[in-house]
Amino acid sequence: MTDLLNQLEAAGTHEARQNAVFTHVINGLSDDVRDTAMVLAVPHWFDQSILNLLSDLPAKATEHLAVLSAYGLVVLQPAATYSFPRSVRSLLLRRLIEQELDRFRHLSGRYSQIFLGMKGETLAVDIEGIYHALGADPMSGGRLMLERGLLWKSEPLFQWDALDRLITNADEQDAYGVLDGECRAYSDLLKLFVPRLRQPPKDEIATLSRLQSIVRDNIAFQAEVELRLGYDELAIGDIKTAGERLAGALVLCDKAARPQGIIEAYRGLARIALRKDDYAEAGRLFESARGHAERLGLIASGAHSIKGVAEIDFLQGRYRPAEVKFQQAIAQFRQTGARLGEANTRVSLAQLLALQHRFSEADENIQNAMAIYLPLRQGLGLGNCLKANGIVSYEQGVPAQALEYFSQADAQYAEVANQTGLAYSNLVKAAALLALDHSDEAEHSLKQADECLAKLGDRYGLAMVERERGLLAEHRKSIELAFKLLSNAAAAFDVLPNPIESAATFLAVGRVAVQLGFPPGYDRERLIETASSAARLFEENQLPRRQRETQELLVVLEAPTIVRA
Amino acid sequence: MSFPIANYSSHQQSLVTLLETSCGRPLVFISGKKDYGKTWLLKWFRTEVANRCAVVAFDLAARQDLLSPSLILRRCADVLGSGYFRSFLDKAHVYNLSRSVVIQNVKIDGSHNVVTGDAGETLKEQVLVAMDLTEFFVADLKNLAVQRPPVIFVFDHFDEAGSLVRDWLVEGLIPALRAVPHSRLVLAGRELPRTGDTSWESELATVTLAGVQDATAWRALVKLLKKDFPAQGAADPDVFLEGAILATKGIPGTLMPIIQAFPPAP
Repeated sequence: MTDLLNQLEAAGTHEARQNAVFTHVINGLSDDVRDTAMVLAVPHWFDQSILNLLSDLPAKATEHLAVLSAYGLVVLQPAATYSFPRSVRSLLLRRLIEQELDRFRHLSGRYSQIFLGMKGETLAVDIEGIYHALGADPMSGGRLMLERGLLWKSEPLFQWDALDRLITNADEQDAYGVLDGECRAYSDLLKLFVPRLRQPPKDEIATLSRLQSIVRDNIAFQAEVELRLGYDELAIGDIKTAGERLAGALVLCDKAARPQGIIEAYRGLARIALRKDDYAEAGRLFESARGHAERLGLIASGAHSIKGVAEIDFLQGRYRPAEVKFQQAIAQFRQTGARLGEANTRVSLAQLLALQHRFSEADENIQNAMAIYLPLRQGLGLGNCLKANGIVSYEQGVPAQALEYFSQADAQYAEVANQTGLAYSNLVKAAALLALDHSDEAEHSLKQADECLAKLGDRYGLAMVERERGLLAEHRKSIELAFKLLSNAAAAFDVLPNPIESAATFLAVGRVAVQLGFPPGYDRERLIETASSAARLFEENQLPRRQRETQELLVVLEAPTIVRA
Repeated sequence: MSFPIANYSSHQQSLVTLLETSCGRPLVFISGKKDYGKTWLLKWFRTEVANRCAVVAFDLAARQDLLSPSLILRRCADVLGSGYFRSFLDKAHVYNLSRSVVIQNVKIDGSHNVVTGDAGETLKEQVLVAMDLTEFFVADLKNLAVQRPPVIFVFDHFDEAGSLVRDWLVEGLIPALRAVPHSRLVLAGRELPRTGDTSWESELATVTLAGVQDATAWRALVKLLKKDFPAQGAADPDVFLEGAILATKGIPGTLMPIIQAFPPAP
């Protein structure tokens, strides 16, 4: 005891003192009690039912357990379970591993079988079983850990805390020196999905590239690495590499029988197609993702794809089917508690409803989305809500109010450094500024939007900018310039294609063409015919402002010709 | 036998004030480094008040469980009487039903477990869903006719809780319980939530454990545990005990095992 006190006084840290005390107590145990302690210290916890299944237990284990309890080395917990205090367990385990590694592996194997065979209300027993599988054999245990980890992170489970504990356990076994490099690579891959350990895309690309060189013969691992790399490349804007990665991931996920991976790869590829404004390809890919999700009963995954298809309908001016799909996606997101998916969809729907002048419905969706974004502190989402509010105000004919919302949206986008958000905010802001007769400021906003959208290669956004520039020129009475810009914009919308924006732009072209005295290819009859067909399109999609603009053009076209001097 | 605990009397008193009807600080945070006796103090508290009020306790570090907000709330309802929590349980059933239906489509080889996780794709969404569910729980709790008030919720090892439970406690349960006059909450851990800018800061009492340097308290404990001093300390137990306190800095988690290893008293 005096030696112990001397050791304690000499110890520099609390951990060293604690180890000295417990080493002293453990050394004071009889050999058979200490042996029982080492066997029982292998799991994080145990109860009588587990002991009953453990054939390797010394004969007098129950008596030994009483001794260990009396020394405070084992603690009885609620629900009649026992556990060793962490430092005691660590000392006992290190002793077992150093002295009898094979026995440790054998015991780990037994515990693994026992825990993996237990029923539980949560994944706790599975996690404990996998922990012991790692101790028994890092190769098979590592593969089991990877398989379960990938399953738990995916729909329908989304068990983030379980995943966190799984990799914490792997780190613990690694600290005991019983894992191998391949197993560590599995654990490092799973860490990338744990919310508190997530890395920025560039760092993650470096990590994944390192991991790729460690494991070469596990297809599930390769598939997940490739998939994750694809999403990271997409996040940093390298569309080409992202496309190649995701196409590779699709093949690998199929080989590895990872349906969730297949769905994610299809969705990623669809996003890339959208970035390239290839709506037909994007639609096809989203549909493939949706088909897989529905076959597996993965409701949230299905909802993401339905939302994707709805966005394409919206972008291509098919407002009615877009609305139906947005509503369907919202219902599915709500069913699974995927609130962010719900909020994002509501914002898209609100913009559609605003264009249809269904203002109270638009407001309701924006309010519901805000109620989700606010507690989650989602800056991008809040920016989108504010922008949607601005669109509502603009469509209501209150550009000053719209401008206020757009400025607030800008602040949110700037806070989260979202360039796309800022670009589109500048775009709609330009329209509001123009309506308020602030043409110089509108020009400045358009310049900013143009720079960013050009960098992103966003052809839809660039066509919008070109149209606003045309409208600005028209406002400044630069009619020939306006005609040129608006014609370019209409052609760009035709190519996308987006019939609604194309028709809306054509109205402006027609208005300017009248002032230019019907230039070649824009004779009165053709303009009336095109405006009439636009009127039908706008009526079909319930777009009051566009309908009004069409009627105004038709009135002009049917009036005596006004030729510019 | 009295509960063997060293002299944390002022801390014990802070916890006992939670039983007062007019308790001005219904929220107690117990902080302290590893082995300073937080868990032991909570054990004492639960023993002390077991017959005087309703206590529902959770060890957030327990490996035999993977606690989630919905599981914690369901267990609270079970302990307090599920008949009082109809509205909450109905709502929880809807959440669980939707999750179970989905989960049935997934084959998990080698496992019998069908888990009912919290709804939501992301951690943040799960916290939000859990906060909604908490509102239903708290509404039922408000109407609970407690025979022996208050109802005390005790959470140990906050620093070892999963992210979901941690975020939910801070953003969901703690603020929500403010609306229930007969509820109290005790949270212990090495690291505790930051309280600045919270709506409940004024209702919080913080207790910090810093070891017990008082030899008299430890001597009483030796007696209570029916232990005798080892041969080296028998001649002058006080000097021996003071040496042990000095060497262990009076940290209960270090000194207690030494005392437990003392020979039994004759």
